[in-house]
Amino acid sequence: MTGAGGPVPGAARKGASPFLRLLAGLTFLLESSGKVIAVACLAFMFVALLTNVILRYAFDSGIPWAYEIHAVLLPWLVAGGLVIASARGRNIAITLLAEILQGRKRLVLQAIIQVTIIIIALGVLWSGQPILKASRFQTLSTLGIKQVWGYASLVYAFAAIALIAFADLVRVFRGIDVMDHDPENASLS
Amino acid sequence: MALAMIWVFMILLALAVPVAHAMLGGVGVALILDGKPLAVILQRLYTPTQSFPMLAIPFFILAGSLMMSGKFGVYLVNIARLLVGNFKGGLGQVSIIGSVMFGGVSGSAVADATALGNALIPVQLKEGYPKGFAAAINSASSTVSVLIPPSIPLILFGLVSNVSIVDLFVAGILPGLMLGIGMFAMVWWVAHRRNLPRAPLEGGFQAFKGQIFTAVPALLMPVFVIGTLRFGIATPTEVSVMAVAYALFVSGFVYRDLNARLIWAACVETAMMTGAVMFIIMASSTIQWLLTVERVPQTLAIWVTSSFSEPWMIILAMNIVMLVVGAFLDLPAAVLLLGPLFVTVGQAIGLDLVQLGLMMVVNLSIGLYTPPVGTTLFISAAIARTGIGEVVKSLMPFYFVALIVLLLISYVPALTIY
Amino acid sequence: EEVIFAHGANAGNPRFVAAEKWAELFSACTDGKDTVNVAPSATMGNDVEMLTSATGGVIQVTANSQGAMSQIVPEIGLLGLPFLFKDLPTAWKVLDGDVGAMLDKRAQDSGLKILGFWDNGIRNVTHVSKFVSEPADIKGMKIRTPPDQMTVDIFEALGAAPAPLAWSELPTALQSGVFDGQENPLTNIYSAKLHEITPYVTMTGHKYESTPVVAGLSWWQGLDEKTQGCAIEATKEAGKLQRQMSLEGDETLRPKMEAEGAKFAEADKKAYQEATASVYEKYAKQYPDLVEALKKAAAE
Ligand code: NA
Ligand code: NA
Repeated sequence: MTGAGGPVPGAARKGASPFLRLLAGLTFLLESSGKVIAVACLAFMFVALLTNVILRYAFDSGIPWAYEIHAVLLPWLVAGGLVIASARGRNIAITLLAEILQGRKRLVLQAIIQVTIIIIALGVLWSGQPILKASRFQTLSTLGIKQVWGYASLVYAFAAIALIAFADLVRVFRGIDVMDHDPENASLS
Repeated sequence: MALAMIWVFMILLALAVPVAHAMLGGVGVALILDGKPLAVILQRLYTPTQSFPMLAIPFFILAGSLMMSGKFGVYLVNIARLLVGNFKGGLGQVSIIGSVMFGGVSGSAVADATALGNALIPVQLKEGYPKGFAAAINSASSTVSVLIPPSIPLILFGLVSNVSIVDLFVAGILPGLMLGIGMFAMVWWVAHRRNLPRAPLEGGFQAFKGQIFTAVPALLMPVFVIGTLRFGIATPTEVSVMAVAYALFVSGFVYRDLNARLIWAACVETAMMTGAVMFIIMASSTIQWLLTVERVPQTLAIWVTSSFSEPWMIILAMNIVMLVVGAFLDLPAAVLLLGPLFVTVGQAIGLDLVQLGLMMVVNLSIGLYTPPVGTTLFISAAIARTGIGEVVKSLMPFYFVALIVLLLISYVPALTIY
Repeated sequence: EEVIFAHGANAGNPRFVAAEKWAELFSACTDGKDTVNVAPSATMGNDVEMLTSATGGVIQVTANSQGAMSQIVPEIGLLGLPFLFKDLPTAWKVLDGDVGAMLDKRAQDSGLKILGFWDNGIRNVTHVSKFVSEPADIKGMKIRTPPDQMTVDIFEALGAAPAPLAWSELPTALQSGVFDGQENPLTNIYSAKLHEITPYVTMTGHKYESTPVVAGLSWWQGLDEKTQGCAIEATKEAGKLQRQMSLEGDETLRPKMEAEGAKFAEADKKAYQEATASVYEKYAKQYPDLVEALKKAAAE
């Protein structure tokens, strides 16, 4: 009944083997990195855009790069937020089947889900190499930053997603239910 | 290969794989079967993050979150009680009026369902409201938020259709009020049948007088948002940034209940919601690529216009498709998936795109409280601690109201185009 | 084999028509061995994204923009030096010659192959309340530009206050009075109805823009010689049609816009040329040979 984030109560209940504690620490670390990255990007864009609006209306001059900064920072905000959501098990899913299944079958289903997530995340990373290579050639015009710095956010996000799913998978094998049932936590619309 | 994609997507979805991952799985399999480069997935995932107007989403979420984390929520409920508490089923009415007012601050129905649900459902249960009915009011009325501007689904539709977000926002007000009034009538009717109690504000206007001026700045937020947009003072993205500044100012200097911990929590919550919403948007963008390459929109448009002779039949068909899709998919995801297809169809039959956008959002917001996947439905049922079946039974009158409004929006252009 | 040809123009735009023509010519030239799937209206992403896609092998060919290309090959941005070409045919002559070949070579270092150059027209200034026939008229004007360094440089040299803004935000920003005007080719102005907000159109023609037709290098290198020839030939032939339409476009658009309330005036190009000479000096420091070669080729 617990989300995967933070100090995992399930792990504690199970006597918290050092390995499980290590995995809980990994998930916690990833979630924290997501928070720091996302909040920093959000705050920076807020200040830059607000300053630009004020300058434009009050002094008829803006910050030219204010219109381009999101090209690098929005992907990182999204990536950070996505890592937080994954660590807390709050990506939106249709959990009907998981609700019906009980006991061992339920754990088997969770194992299948985590394996699928790992395959998809690694697949995206592996198949995306040509695009990453291409993005090294492109420079944002007013910022002078290479596009690849923006794409790097997706590498971070999907690597973290795969790691988090791996940690959850190990927990499932130890008999821990990793699904979050609270729909309020899965808010989206 | 679009069919292979849909099958894999549905199977993964049924297995409870998260929606965005399921989309990527479906697209991946289709690309492999089609012999197309998988590299497109990473590239299309990146695309939505490059859109400047998309920035309005995190900032509108943040503004609403900052407002609601402080005293504003309490004032909001008090004002609503003062206005409609004297009716039978007063607390139910408060929920609807609250959603209309809350809608002016927030662009998200889920934020509304969470904030007002937690404040009102427990009290309603104490006053003897049936659990299912309390949850039903909350899950249905919270969708008014996505019609009263600002609205995240309307921003998304504007982005996929190239329609002015300002026009969409302005056109959303009337349908939002229609839904609110319709639901108001339904609660009144049910309250009389079940003899539900009134819920006037204790001490009445006298008790509230002292609070009214402190509540005004928060209530001015919708006026501020619509005003700046309508009179072209700023663009939607700029307004979203200024809304955050305004929320910080009001809670910091007027309510004085702002602190670093609250700001940090609001930012983390915003980041997580942005991540979850954007991930689905990004995954839909890979699906759109596949559909475009296979010319599905054009094929669909030709098929629809050749198999239905009359525009009204096509509009009906679009609505039925949306009701089905909306039952399964979340609102933003459904807008992004169906938007590009329906814009092509809409243009083919000369349907105004602003009207189409409102039709889509009114329709798909019904999906928020229909099973099997309904976010506000799940949230409200969880707060009321009751089963989905119970809530759905009590939702019947609300479905009826929403369908009437949908019908009017679909066939009376004057309601959305001025 | 299926070739995806992507571009950002909508139906009715010369680029849209030319892309259809390219598909027809290429397919016929390869005896139907290769079919072309044309993806218009930026359905494959915006110009920058289409270039990433082409380099990464996701799409094969794109009719792109000078601005996006100059993020990869900065030298392409020099084609937009102020008042460089006296008319469109001069620009075409330069692009089809040595300069074009040199740019292609530079593009190949970054994983792209330039098949040829189509047109995107010459840019003109629109203002909300007056004409800007003389450089003095433009002093202090708050003008929206695309996020393109060359354009910003030109208007800074003229003493205006240029600020880059996303295209999607432009109509609202103009309406709000944040800007006095903007600059674009007539086709863009007409299609976005910008002349309804800024009816004073001055035919400054300050900057030329091409539409580079670009293929992914890895796809290109995998083609046999005959197919490569087909791609080049199709680009050239469709380009003739596109350039013709582009040339006629300005002439037919003007009366249409006038009928909708726009007012037109000519600009004192000589004075403008002198006022923007400093832009040449700036870029000549960075690319001395190329700027010289461009000036010479354009003068011939
Ligand atoms: Na709203
Ligand atoms: Na639903």
